[in-house]
Amino acid sequence: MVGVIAIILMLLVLIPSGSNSDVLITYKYPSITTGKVPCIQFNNLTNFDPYWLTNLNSYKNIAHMNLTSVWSQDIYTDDLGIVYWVDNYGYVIYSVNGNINYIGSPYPYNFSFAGSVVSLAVIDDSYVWYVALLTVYGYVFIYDMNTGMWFNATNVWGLNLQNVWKQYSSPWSSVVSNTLGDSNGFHELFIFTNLNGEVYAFDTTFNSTGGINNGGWWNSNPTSFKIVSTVAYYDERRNNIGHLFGVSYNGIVYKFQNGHWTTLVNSNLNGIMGISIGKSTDLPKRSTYFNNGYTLFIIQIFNGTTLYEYDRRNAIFKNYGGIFTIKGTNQAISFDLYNSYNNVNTWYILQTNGTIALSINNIATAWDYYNNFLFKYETSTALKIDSKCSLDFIGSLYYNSSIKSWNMYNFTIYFTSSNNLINLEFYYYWPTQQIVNPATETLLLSNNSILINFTYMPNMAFNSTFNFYLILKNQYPQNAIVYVYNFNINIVNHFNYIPI
Amino acid sequence: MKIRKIAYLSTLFAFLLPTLVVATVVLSYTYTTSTTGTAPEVYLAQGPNYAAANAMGLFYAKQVGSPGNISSGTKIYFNYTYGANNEALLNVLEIVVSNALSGRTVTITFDTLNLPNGVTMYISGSAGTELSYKVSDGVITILNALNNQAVSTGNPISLSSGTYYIGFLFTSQPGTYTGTIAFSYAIS
Repeated sequence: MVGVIAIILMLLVLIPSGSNSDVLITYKYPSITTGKVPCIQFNNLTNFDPYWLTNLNSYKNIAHMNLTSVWSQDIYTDDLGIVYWVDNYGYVIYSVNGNINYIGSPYPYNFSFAGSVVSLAVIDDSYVWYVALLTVYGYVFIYDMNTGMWFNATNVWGLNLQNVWKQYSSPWSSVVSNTLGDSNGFHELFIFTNLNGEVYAFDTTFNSTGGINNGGWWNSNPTSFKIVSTVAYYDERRNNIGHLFGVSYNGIVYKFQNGHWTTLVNSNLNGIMGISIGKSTDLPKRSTYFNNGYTLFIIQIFNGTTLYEYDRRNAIFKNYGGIFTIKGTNQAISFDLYNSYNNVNTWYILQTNGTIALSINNIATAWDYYNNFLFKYETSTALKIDSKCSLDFIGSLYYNSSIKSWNMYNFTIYFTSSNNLINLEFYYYWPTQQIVNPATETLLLSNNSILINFTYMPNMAFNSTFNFYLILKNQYPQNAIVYVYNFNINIVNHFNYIPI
Repeated sequence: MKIRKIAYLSTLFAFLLPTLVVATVVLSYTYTTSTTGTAPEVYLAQGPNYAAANAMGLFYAKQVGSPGNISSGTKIYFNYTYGANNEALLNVLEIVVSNALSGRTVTITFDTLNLPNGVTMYISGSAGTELSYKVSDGVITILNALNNQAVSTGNPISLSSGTYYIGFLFTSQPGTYTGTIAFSYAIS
């Protein structure tokens, strides 16, 4: 044993190194890795329900935004054939024999308490000329065409539709007008319906300061029916009987009678957005729903569809006319009853992107279009990026991916820097399928912010999703610190009670 | 037993020191030795972006001496940012190879890189070239790195005179972790 040790020692002395290096030095560093709360964070305190809501992770460096766009929502033809339409921001436009007029929105201020505008109806008679807007939360705003003023009808008329929303969050979906089915001076009603089939009527002409004649709650018991659109019809030839019909998105048509909704017919069509009453192809046969030749029409949301007409004899909905939707998804339909009395039949179909299809012959086989009566809206600050870092940073937004971007007509993201420069970060333009991503470098000063805002216009009613990376790098020295944050935007182009 | 040990040792000394037995002239020399420190000619130091990363509270490694260098055994602290998808700290350290070694072969070998999962280290591929980056699909790629890849253990790297920059890439959330970075260099 000792001999072996001796030999080893000998070899060590005689051959000091197995390497040919002259010098060999070693270093060893212990390291400790731990986490730190980011000094740059998204700030969602500018959330504006219901238009933009951003959820953040606990460290506020991953942001998921639901951005509800502004789309064309409803169209209505009044007692004298004037056509009105509105977007969900409440901006009203009307056309008199093709001459366009702008009313504007009742919302020059924060209106998040009221929700988005879901429906429009007009009463234009010898007593009043009111344009009524119903919001999804059940608030009603009226534009008095005679005075040129908006007023809050929920307050002025003492409506309490919003309490239904507050009670169980049932969205309001439709308002229509109809002449009363009595001989009392042809008073006209606004008839409000929510998704659960509750119905409230208000007589505008009996006492415009608040009196109700044959008004009040027609049905205050929620049903399981999901009524997305209604139509009312005053049947002069049948002893002034009034009719109210509704339709659900899954294509079931209901009739309101004696305080209850009953199923009239299942159309076996899905994606139904609107119902109207118009002239039947069967005229003057006696097979139509009404003895004087009018019947129900419904439209689907989908691009490339026709009208569907109710054939009472066979209890089905059948194709009517030619394809009218080649430019977008459909939101609402209105038929010009006034001019139909002179056998000029015109259907108006409002599409999500502001296009209006209007039939140009009496049988709706030929259509014309008013294009893009929708504004490109600009948000205020929808989200902020705050820095509490000791250094200044540069932020840029890089496009990563998208899902169904074509549902937007255009979509733009701007950053406003800490020194108030507005920079373009991203732009999408559907007509040319163009994605532009300059990712302009935007200064984020220490203890300061970058502001984010958008412009947008939808193309279709379906959602679009855009995924981005926010790249943050310190300004000086270069190439020192780089962060990558996630920013995801889901743009919603329809009310959430529409199941798409 | 003791007797046998002594016999072995006697044999050993006889083998190693035969001259003690056969020499006729004996000369004696005495040398004094002195041990002192000298500035290292290959060393780890804080990089040009250390101050920025340190100011942000993201990185700490104490430097001493002149030229400033990070002594072996010094703790290196990393602070990744919670929730960040990708994060890079570039040019926060550097390895300096002195000009005095020009003409010599300096080979550095990282024998231990015990970093948490999702953390990788890069060293620049040529002297004087700082690490840079690009971002694609939200993923940071380090540019100007040796062999365009992260440093791996056990592979000798030949360095010429100059400064080589070191950076770190975080691609996940590693949690709290204690590790080691060890390297050796040989001059020949």
